[in-house]
Amino acid sequence: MENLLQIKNLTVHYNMETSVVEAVNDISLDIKRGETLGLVGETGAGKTTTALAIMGLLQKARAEIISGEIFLNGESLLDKSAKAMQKIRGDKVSMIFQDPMTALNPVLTVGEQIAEVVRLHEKCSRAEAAARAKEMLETVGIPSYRYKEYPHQFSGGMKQRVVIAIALACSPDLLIADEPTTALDVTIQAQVLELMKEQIQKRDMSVIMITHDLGVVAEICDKCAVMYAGEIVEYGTVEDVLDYPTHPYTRNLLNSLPSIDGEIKKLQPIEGAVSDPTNLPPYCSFQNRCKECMERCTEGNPKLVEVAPGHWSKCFQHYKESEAEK
Amino acid sequence: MLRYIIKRVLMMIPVIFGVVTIVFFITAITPGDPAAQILGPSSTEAQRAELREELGLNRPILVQYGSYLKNLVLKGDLGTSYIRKAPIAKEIAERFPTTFKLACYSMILAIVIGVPIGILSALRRYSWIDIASMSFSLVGVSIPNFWFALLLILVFSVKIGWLPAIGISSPAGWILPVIATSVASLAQIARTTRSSVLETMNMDYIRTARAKGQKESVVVFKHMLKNAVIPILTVCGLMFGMTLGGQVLIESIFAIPGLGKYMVDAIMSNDYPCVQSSVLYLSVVFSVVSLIIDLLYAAVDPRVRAQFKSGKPKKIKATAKA
Amino acid sequence: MSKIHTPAMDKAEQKRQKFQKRRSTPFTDGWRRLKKNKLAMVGLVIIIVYAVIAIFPSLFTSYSYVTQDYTSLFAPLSRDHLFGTDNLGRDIFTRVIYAARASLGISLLSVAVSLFFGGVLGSIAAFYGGKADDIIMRFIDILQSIPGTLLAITLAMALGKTVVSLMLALGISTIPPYAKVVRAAVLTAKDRQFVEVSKCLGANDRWLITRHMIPNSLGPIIVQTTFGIAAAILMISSLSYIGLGIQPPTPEWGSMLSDGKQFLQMGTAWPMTVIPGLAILIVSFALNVLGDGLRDAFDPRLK
Repeated sequence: MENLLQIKNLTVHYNMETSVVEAVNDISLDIKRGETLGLVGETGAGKTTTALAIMGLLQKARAEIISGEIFLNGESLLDKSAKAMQKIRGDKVSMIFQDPMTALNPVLTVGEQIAEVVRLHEKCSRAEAAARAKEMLETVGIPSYRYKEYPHQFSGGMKQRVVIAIALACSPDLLIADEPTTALDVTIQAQVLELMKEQIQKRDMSVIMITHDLGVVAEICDKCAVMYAGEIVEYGTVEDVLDYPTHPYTRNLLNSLPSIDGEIKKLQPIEGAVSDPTNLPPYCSFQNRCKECMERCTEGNPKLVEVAPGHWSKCFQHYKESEAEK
Repeated sequence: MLRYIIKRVLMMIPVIFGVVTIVFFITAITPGDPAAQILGPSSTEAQRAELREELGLNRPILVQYGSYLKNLVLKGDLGTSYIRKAPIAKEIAERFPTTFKLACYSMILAIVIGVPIGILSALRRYSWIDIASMSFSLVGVSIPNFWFALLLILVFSVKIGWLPAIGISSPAGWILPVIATSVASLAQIARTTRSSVLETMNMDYIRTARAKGQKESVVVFKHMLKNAVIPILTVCGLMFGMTLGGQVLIESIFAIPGLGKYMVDAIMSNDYPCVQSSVLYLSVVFSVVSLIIDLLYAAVDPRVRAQFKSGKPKKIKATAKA
Repeated sequence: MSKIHTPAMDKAEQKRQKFQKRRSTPFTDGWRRLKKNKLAMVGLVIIIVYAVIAIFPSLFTSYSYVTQDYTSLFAPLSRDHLFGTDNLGRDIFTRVIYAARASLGISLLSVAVSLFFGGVLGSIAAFYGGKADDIIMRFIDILQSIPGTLLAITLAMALGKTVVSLMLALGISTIPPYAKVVRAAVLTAKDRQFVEVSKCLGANDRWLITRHMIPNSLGPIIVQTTFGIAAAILMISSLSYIGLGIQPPTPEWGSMLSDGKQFLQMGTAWPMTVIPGLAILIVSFALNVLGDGLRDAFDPRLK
């Protein structure tokens, strides 16, 4: 399968007044057509920044792309003009935002907001766009007679359905879902997740599912990338990463979660706090919290190493044989 | 919706009643003998006593208040001018249209210029346009409007001689008064528009609109402005009230035969009832304008409409920074 | 110490070092932000100068504000008469200087009046809520539906044309915004944890209001007061212009303008109109700029 999206050595900083936040540090990612990638990590790991960089929606005033390239279908997104990006956003790539409560414009009807994206990217009349919008509402499980209602008349879960409808309306090649269920009640989370799963399976699109919920990853994704302090520390198929985690952080993360299969284990929280993103060490960022840390961990920053075919991990532990090459 | 409007109109009644009461009792505490004022210093005590009897000034204050209210509600009677002995209601009715026209022209000017300036400043934040227009707005809110009026006359009438200094007999006569009256509202509207747009700019739904691939211009006009408009409306309402008050001086400077000049003349001649009645009249007009503004909220914001339907109006918190 | 070093980092580092050593409380932070706002600092300096002039007018001029000199009426600007003389040959510079006193004094007192009544009404409304809140806020609404200038005019007329009545008229007519600001601030403070703690420790209502809520709602009140003084100065001059308030011969900027108006058509009399207005403009501009700066400093949401 060909790569739909390629991210090469992307580094993004936020230049604040008295500090520079190193949000994303030299990450590379490939996503194949039809593949669903789970992007996992704690808050502040750089997941959303990566997504916004792909969308071309980083805050111009603060964010700076230091290096890197992003290709969609072989075309470089970072070189595109603002106009050209407008054509791509919503059509080829679309995004679902975290908080449905604020993601919808309160003074426009939900129908209008769905029809808007259709009108923008497909040559069709107002009536056709409205018809498409109604269709989309039904698709996400909202009766189409609610077309003329306003966001404040919808519950949080319903609003997120509308946001999903907007994102899917133009059948994008790539959907970025930024923690689509985090802001919802637990019972609603399951429903929305079910809806997303159904739509992902039905459509031939690639998905980046940003989440800190490994359960979501297990349920929906094909591949999984674990981010820590702006870097990808482990990448592979979901089975590889969740069943045979190789990076100490991933292992820690899995141990810190209660198991659903009823296995009773003592939960092991990850001690310490994430490295200060305004002052990252020049070596492994996880070193200060790592139980398996070695002497050389403070000597340099390890690179991603292929520990098994298609399974990569960024830790000196895997350097044993390949070390000589470096 | 209609039911709500009716309800709001009815709710205005206690407010107006309160205003009438406040204004009446302010009059009542006025020191001095009205009879002496009316008859002049040469009158005898007997004459004064007779007039007091005639005007009912001897009665207890609450009885006076009752009959004042009765006359006001039943006959629209605002009392009689001390000096001219003419019915005030008629005098006010003659002058009000001019005042209202001046207020409306100034508000229109202020909105037509102030809102675009505010939007532009917000979008080009920290650019020279922003800095220049916000500096001018700062001067605009700080400048005493009557001094500005005098300056306008000094420059455009006395020095250059382009425009008449007084009177509104020709359309050109309106130009200076309208500019002088609108300067404060224009500045305040520009400032509020700017901060309101800035606040809306960072909302998530603006990002959603961009994520759809929407053009920047549409993002601004369709998504931002409709949300930014409530504080702007609020400040327009407040400014209308300020305009009505500020006109008092402007009208007398430009010799415009409106309520403002009427009031200043009455102040000069100690004609209390005229002043009180004018204040009352203008306050009612202001209340009506405020009501219209409240109803306009509903036109732009479905959430307000929803409150209307459920019959539980909630005051919208305005972010206006006055 | 970072993965990739950029020039932006050096800049940020320099700034951070500059700020790191200092103590940080809401007030020092606010003051620091205010200090960075050059325009606001210019405003502050102007206000200080204005206050000094108002308190010690005799330091700045050798003339008396009442001395009439019929040999030099409408004198142009000169070294003797910096801003010329008026229709009675009085030195305009001197009169503008002395007028600062009246406008500063009355504006401060009137703001104190509205702050007192507004503060009492607002904190009672917020603290007790329910009926008290309803009644007080309804009253405030009614008061507010009379345009401020008009209410002040009515009150000033009713109370008589004296300085005290002017002060009361201004003070009473501007109660509503203060009551609202204090109410909002107290409502916010009321929800804060330490108020709960104090209550549990047996503090009474007055203690809670004066020791906890008012200090914690000071920011918005200071901002409102600054704008309020600017508004009061404008209003004083407006009222004096139409003959209410400060009476001659005491110089006041508004009444000086009113004198000047009569000679507007006379080319040489322009300083009588221009100078006093400029004084009002400068002071109210300075206060507004400072108010803006204070608001941004204490409420940095929009920064």
